Amino acid sequence: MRNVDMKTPESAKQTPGSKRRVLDTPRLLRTNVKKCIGEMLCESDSDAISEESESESEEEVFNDVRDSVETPPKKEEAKIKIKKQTKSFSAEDYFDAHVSSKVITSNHSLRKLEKPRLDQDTINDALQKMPKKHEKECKIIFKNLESKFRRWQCLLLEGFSLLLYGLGSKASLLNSFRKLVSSDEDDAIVINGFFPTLTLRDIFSAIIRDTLDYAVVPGDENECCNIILRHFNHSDSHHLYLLINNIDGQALQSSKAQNAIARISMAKKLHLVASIDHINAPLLLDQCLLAKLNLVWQDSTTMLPYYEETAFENSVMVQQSGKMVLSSLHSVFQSLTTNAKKILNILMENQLNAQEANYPGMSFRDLYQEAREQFVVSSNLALRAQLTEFLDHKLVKMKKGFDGSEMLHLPLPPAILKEFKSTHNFDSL
Amino acid sequence: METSSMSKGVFVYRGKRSKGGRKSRSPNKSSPRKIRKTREEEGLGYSQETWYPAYKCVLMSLEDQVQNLYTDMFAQLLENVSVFLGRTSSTAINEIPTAVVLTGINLPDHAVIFEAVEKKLIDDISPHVVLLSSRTCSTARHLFGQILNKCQFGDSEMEIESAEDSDDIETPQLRKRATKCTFSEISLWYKNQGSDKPVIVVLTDFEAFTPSVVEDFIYLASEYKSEVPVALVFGVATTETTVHCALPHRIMSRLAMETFATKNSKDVLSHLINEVILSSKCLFRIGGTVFKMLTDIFLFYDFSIQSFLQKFKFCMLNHFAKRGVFAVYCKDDLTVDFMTSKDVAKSIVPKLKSFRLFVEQHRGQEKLDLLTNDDHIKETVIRLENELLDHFDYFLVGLKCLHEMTASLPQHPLGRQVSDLYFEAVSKKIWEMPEYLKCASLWKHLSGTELEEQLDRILLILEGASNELAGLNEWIADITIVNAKLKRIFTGQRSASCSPKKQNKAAELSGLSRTQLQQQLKELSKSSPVQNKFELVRNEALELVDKMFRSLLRPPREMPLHELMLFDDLELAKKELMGNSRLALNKALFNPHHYLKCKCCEQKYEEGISTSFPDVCISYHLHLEFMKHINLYDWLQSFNLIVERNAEEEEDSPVSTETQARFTQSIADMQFLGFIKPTSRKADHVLRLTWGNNCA
Repeated sequence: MRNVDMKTPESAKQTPGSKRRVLDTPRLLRTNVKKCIGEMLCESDSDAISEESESESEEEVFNDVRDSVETPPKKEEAKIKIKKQTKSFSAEDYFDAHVSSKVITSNHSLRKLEKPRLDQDTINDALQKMPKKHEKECKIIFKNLESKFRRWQCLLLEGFSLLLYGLGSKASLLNSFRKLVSSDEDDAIVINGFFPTLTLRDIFSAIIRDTLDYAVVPGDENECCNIILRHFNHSDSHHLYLLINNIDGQALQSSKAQNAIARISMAKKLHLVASIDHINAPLLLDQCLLAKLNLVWQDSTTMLPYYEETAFENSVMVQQSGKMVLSSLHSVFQSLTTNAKKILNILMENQLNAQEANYPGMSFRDLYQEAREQFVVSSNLALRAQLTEFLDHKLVKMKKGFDGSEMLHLPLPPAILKEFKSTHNFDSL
Repeated sequence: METSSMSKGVFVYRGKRSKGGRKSRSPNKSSPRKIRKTREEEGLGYSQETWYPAYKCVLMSLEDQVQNLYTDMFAQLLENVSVFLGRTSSTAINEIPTAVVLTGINLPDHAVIFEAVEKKLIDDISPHVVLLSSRTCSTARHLFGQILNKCQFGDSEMEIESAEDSDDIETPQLRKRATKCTFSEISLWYKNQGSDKPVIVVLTDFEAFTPSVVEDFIYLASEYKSEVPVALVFGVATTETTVHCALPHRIMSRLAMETFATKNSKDVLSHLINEVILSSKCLFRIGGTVFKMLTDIFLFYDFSIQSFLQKFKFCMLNHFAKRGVFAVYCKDDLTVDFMTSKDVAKSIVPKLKSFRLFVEQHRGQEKLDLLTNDDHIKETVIRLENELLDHFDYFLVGLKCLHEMTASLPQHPLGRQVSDLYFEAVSKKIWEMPEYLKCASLWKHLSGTELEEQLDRILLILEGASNELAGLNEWIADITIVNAKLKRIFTGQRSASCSPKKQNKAAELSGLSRTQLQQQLKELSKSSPVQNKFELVRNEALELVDKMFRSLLRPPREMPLHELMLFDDLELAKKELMGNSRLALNKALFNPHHYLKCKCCEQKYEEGISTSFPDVCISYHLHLEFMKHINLYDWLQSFNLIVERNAEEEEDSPVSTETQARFTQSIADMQFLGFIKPTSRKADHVLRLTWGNNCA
């Protein structure tokens, strides 16, 4: 059992051809194992032993399997048994996993499926329709966690911060905790750390402007921290509960953000509850952060799926519908002048007409030429002014080409561009 | 849900406070606030509980003691720094006096040190002390700005407070200030000030400063030396050489440096443990295992006293919350009086294991009373708890004595610190441990003077504590007698000559033949060596000491009601203070039954993947079988196989949209959890980010 996959690469080198299929995928491996067991069952024990001595390394691979399958099982059971695994991970496993640089996998691709990738809406619909597994148990877990809220609050008020970890989305848990703590007098702020465009400034402005009623939020982060610290260290202040979903989120991973959050969490009346999900999230916290945060770890496994957290279109298996990009494109486009629209159109046409797989973009010179011909711009500078706006809105990206010229392209897949083009009538411009 | 949105990530929930809350921020106008505060304190639930005031009281006394300890520990350092700066800044040398304070790597504690430094310098030398951290000084201009701000307004608080009143004017003011942040501005301010006290700039984390910023600052400061006297304090966490490495010689030559080292944080901890935590003044007792965990975190991880204290506080809070009012009962404060006998009888006390064991020891009427008679139970509880509390004081004295005896032994069989002894002795009979026996055998090799010294020291400890603990007097008397005997022997021995008996024996041996000599020697070796006077007294003394330890060091953990006083919940402390998110995550994914407690997943766990597992668990189990790269298509097929177990799995059965959707969601979860990430190495492949178990 232990050595099965580890040894297979060796056997592959010795016996090329059909036997190589064994390595392709675990599924195939499993079918092969099943066949092997089937053969074993047909043969008498003595035969099996004699054959074993003659057999090649491939046979050896299954030795352990034989050991584990003592009684003749049914086909179905055999398949399951093979999966029995030891729970302990050892350091050896690391070297096993990294022993060969070349990993052999099958050449299957998702294109073999009817729909290679589903889009988010289809997935949501399908999941909605399906009966949920373990709904009752999840509710019990949730209730149990909710019963800890009083203790959590007590810990928070004594100056500790809470860090929630464990499998399952903790957004609803935090929300439920928020309902408990945000009373008439005390404020609460819920922050979704998994939100892709979240910035530290958003958090500061939420605290300073929305709960402290300052008109201006200082630009300097230190100053923000100082204001918050001074305010919430004041014995007269109200309490503020800062609930962060995924403090390990993309937006908050920088050490600057972590340090700022840790610093403000030191205020006496500001209480931090944060959740982590990423398996390596504890690596973010060094001893200084830990000392500032003064954490109490809470195992809050909810077993709920991460619907919200994964909704931001970055999963491998989800079809990138680009709906969000498209809608942002629409709104920016509407505010453009006619000339600017025309420039964008030139870029878009160029990009759509390009046949190359690795489209480098349109060079600035070409664009200028084209734009001049259409009487869109009169000078190099005017075009640059227009482009600045695109670049600021991230509609257009600029790269240096091989020859040092500036190459411009729209960072969108062709399908979206086509859709966008079809919704706006560019010819009428 | 209310907190999900595709367009924003921050959700504010405001209380119904009046929006003019800002104005009532000043402390004088806060009468409505005060009412609110009391309401709130009541509403918290836990602060209403009887134990809470007692907890606060114990915590406060602990914090006071720690503060005193800190003041004592740093007094010498502060004095030295202050004297140095005071001396050099008044003399008219060209160099800038610089005190390099080696603070050690326990970064979280530095704030406390520098607070003390600032206070001391303000008191002793000059009101212009500026504490700077590298966070706020990315450029020289920022640095000057900070100095100006702090000098002009004392604290940044005033500046913001004034800006607050006039929000519109604030920004231009700040900008103006930013352009004017130069050294000439500082010197201008200093002139207007009209004092001759130096400006002391403290760089709290020297290593994190950009060297060029410090260089510029020092250069300018030495140029302006005649106008503005500046003194520097560098907080250096590592060694003095970092200063030499960071600054070039032309800058270094402008500094008159002197190095001061703070106390080793390990020493501070052992001081803290001996003086505060293991003193009879501290009313919270921590169990051996938990205590060991806390010191281990300290020694192996951060060396930070502050975080040690926070963790200690956590233990305390949990203990008090769990044990309620019983935990706080102490000799002077008769909290138990406030409770009726019924309360005691119905409370957690009768359920405690140690109390039940205590009841079991009794027979007949006494046992019946202990089970049913409420008044009797209360009396017994009070008596037992008093005994326990008294015993603990004796126990601590005993530990100190034992430490005296063991600390100087070779190889330190029982550890070097009192806390090492405490870990073991609090729950075990220490005299039964092999380490103790080893110590006992080593004591037999002690020389007379050593033994005498140790007995003297033990006497000192006992006498120091005997004012409060009358039971020690007996031991003091006994040890004094033995000690006197020992002293007498020494004074006698010096005058006495070598024993004549031995000489006789030697004479006897000289006249024998070889075989006879052999015989004689054999006999001599068999007969036990005759003990001299010293050895007799030494054995007597050691027996006495041993007896004393056996009596004083009776493990508190074995006494009835120890649960009320000792916090020994190692599991809780470990789980909540150290946290193991990876383990929890893997456990939940590998064996969802552990959390779900459902029947469906339990039975099949032994066999591998069950159809009833949550989707992400199925995906996780499958992904364990892969190597570095995972083919999504094959993964999906395997997933399909598990989910549609009854379907015939010969050659690719079509994947339904539902299954694909479930798989997609589970993959998204896995990606979110950090187990896989997309790769462009091969089409429709993902990279596995963890390792292990890839050998199904």
